[in-house]
Amino acid sequence: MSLLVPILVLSGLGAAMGVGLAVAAKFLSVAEDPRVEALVDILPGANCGACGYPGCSGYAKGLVAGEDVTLCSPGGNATVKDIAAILGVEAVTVVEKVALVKCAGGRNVAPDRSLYVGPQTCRAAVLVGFGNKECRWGCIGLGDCAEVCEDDAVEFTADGLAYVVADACIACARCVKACPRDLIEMVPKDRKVHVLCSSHDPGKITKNVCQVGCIACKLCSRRDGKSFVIEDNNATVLYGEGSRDVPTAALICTPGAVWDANMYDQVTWLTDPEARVHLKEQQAEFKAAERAERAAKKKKAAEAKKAKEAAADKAEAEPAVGKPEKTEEAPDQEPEKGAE
Amino acid sequence: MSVSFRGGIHPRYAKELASDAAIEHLPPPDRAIVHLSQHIGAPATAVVKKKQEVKKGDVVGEAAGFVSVPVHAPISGKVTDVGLYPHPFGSMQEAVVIESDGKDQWTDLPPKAQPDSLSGEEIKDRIRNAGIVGLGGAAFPTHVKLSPPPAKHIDTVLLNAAECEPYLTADDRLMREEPRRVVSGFQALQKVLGAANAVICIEENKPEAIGAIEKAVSKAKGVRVATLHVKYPQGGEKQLIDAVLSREVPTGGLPMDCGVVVQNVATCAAVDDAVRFGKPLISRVTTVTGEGVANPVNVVGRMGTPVQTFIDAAGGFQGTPGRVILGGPMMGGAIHKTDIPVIKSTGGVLVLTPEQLPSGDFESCIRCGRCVRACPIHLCPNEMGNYAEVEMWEELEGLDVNDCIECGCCAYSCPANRPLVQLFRYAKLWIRQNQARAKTAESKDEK
Amino acid sequence: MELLILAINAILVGNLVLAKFLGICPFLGVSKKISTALGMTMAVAFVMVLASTVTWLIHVGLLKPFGIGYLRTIAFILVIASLVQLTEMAIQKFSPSLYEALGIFLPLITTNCAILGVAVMNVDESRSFLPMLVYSFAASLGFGLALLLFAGIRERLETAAIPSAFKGAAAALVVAGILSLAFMGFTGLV
Repeated sequence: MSLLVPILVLSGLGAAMGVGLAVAAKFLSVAEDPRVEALVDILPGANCGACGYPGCSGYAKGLVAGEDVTLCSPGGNATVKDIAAILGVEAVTVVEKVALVKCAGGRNVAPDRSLYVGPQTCRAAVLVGFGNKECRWGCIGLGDCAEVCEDDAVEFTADGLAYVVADACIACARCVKACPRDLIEMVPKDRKVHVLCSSHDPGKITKNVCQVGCIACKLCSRRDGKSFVIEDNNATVLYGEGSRDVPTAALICTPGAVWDANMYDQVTWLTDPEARVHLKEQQAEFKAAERAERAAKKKKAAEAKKAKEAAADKAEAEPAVGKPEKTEEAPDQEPEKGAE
Repeated sequence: MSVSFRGGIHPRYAKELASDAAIEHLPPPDRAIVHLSQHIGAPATAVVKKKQEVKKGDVVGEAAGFVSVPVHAPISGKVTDVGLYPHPFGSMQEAVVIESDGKDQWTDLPPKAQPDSLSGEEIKDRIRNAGIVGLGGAAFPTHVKLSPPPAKHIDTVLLNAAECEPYLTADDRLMREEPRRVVSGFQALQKVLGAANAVICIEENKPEAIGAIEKAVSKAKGVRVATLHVKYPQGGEKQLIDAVLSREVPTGGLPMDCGVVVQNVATCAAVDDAVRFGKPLISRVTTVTGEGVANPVNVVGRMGTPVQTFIDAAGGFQGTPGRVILGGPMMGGAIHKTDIPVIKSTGGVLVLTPEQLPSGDFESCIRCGRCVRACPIHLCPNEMGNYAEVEMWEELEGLDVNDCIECGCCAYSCPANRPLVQLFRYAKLWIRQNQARAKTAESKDEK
Repeated sequence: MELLILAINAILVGNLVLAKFLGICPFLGVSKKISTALGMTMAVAFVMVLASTVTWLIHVGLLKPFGIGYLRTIAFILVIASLVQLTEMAIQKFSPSLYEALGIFLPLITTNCAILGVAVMNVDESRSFLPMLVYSFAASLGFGLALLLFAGIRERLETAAIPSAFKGAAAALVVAGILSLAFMGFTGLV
């Protein structure tokens, strides 16, 4: 008997609370799309904001409202597939990207012009007299990009140049927003040829402030106008439809602003002076080879022309039946433009 | 009876280095690099081409819009280039390069005129066509300052003869040697604005200048002289208006909001030249001083002359230079190289020795409050500096960091050597960027 | 008068957090910003008063008459848990921003010893209805006072040059200790 009362009381209490909560749940329920939770589960959870939403749950809410499924860069194609599966839409293949610092101007090739004293952030340094580098477009090297990278993908050379380690980069694009000189660009992961210069100064100024800056000589864009374009004194690589990794681009760029990852890995290219020396040798060889090829072609054309003229002379000496034929001249082979 | 404002500091003035040096005129340079961006507002657009012959005073760059002024050739000769050249502020800007022909010939100038015979609008036109900007350092187009909206009635015009920056003596010498030119220009400005009152405000440490100006205004009607207590930054617009008229410029506002317009001494001298002789602004008085030059001088140099020429005129460097600053030690800007050309706002070239430079090391705020007492705008630099260091931008906005005039009183008085002005400039940049970002986000939401 | 003394006792002398050391978890967790601290205070006040009332009624009406006062811990926890669930649902419905801000701390009020502590203290001191109400409300105000004071100090701590080993939770705990020492000054006030 003494046991029954407590049991009854507690059970009664429990039941009353249960019913009360159930009723309240009906009146106080907040409608939430169950897909939102499912989406939050499959999203990477980096909360990086690359999609433009505040955090992954924000993007999930946007997705059920009809947002583009391809906005999550850290997730890549795997996430796009998962999102498409949950929402019941078609999965699109996205190009996986990584961040690239479009500058190769460490202190060794792009010298400082003064000593900066003050808060050690790039944004603060640029405020003082437009930065302490001779080149007003180049990398300051105080690490605003590294500060925001949560995956430790940004490293620095001994000469104060920032670079992104592609394998560690999740493409959240935080560094792109952090750089006060807008040096960082998202490039397709599988592309190997890049122009590491963002200077918009005319070539005659650039070559005085940086040994490896782009002088907009147009050699690259003339070789393949679908892969390189000159915009405002700066060569830009096109990564879209119809473009490709031009294999000879690094060999014809005289200042060495084009980096071909097939020829040199990133760290070697940015830090090893031997690599530059080696490249110069390759460039000289390549140019000599091209020149020889052109000379051979010209010789061949001249010989062909001579042969045709000789044949024509012969025909004149022995008049053929009918009207004399007009001698046709072989079209002159113009030397390929852009030889210099 | 000298008047003043609450706050400010008393730095070592070192004016004795150059205050007794009478103004000398530098010979015209062999090559002038005339920048098209020498003022606040849109840069001028070049109207000359390479190989074109120009005469002294010809327009080489036209004003681009209302808040802009034309730029003139400071020498006669041939234009050799129009392109990017290093600018005193550190960037590269469009400039017109003129090689001298040695003749230094004036172009045809507008006819001479007496200020009394010209109307206010005509005076303003001459000022605009002469490319005159505020020569106190800000380089704001003067004709724009003289065109307040009709709703703002201007009752007082102040002549800012405080020259509160240490080391600089250009305005002082100008007042001592050419007081009538200064007063005449000032009166022309008063006429344009139709202001009832005109006050010339001079700091007490320039007794000869006060004497000269008082003599010059004794014949002029409606102009009085006010002596100011010697304090930095007495020459700040807001501080001047507070001290002389006891009026406060509202937050985010301008002097015209309390019926006042402030002009600088050198600006008035340039106005007089433009009004009387139609001469454009191609030169100004510059003090070359500091313990880093052998012989401090006050010189009149043409725009576009390299800074090195000015330093040479002062006997060259004395020992290794530590820092070369265009302007004064408090609000001037250090330059990277001395081959850059001077512009309209270059009123001082200051060379400091390496021993005079502070180290960049600073410590945490000890909350002593010296900066709060020194701030002429009555802000809390200690709090603002702490928030800026940990990048808490919203709290900073709440502390009115946008009212900071970057005078440097706080950084000067800080025993922990904190780079306060630099932190505030950094903060203002972030706040501007965040506001811009918020605006684009808002417009994105609305779509 | 007695009610006033009771209230002052609850707020200052016998402050829940700083004198009785109850409710430390939300005290440390939600006191980083003054805005969230205010929101938390209101939530705690609501739950505390409601929970105290309901538990008091259950004790007086159900447990004492049946002589099963020893079941009060289980019964009270049951009631408090359900009430917090109810509060959470209500906040989520009527103020989603507050819901986002408080986040995990709402369900943490359930295991918050402050609520149970107040409920049990009311019963232990055999208070009648009105004193019980006054005490519960005042106790929650005291909790809010401690929370707001602490939040204000923590906001200022953000800009202080604290050695990195001490930054964050360590400095906060030291401050909490000092605050508690300060409140000891109220001993003997009433």
